[in-house]
Amino acid sequence: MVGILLVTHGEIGLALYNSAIHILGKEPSNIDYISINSNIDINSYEKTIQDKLTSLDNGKGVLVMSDMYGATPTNILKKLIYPRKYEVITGINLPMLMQALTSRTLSLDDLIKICLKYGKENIFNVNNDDKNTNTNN
Amino acid sequence: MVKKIFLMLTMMIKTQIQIINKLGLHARPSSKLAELCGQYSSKIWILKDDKKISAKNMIDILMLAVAHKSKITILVEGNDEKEATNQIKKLIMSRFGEEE
Repeated sequence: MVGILLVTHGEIGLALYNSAIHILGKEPSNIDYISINSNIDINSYEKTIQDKLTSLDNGKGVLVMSDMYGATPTNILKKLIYPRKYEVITGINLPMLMQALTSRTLSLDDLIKICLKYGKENIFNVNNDDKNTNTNN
Repeated sequence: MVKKIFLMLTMMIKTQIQIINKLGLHARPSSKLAELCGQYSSKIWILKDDKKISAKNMIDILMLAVAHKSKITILVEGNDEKEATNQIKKLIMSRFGEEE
């Protein structure tokens, strides 16, 4: 099973993780999160992240999800992604995470593809959605 | 030869069913339904309006935006299609464990 690591600003990763538990009705396995806070030395996170990556990797690799490209969490990860045993995708959202957590038998490469697909497809203007007329809540 | 016999014995089961829980197919029911469907080797689809999606993918189920009292059609095809259909009907009729 591919490991999943959430690396985000503040408590975003924790909030997404808790939401996923609520939706799934159980705690998913082989997933962890790291909250990056600006009041803590940035360099100290590299070892924490590396340790968690090692812990999560059971041979299938680890998919890392960050929240925003160009920002500190992703910048820290960019230093750690070689060799490509760990893959980083950014712009995490709840559909992307749920898709990852319900597709755990996929390979790391396939998991990346499906997460990017569903993450992007679930960003749209609900007002322009034709399904909107069919809902009553 | 075995494969041919197998194909002859399976047929698609088509079931129309109403969603009776008040909040419709929101996140938790979609997750439960996808997880249940994922336990079967049969191919399972949900049809609503002009959409046809895999019932094994919770995000695809969510995107159907199935509201309370909506009717959906479940298509199940494979060697465990009867058991899968029965359990799917049971889950939906149980309101996915929700009170109303």
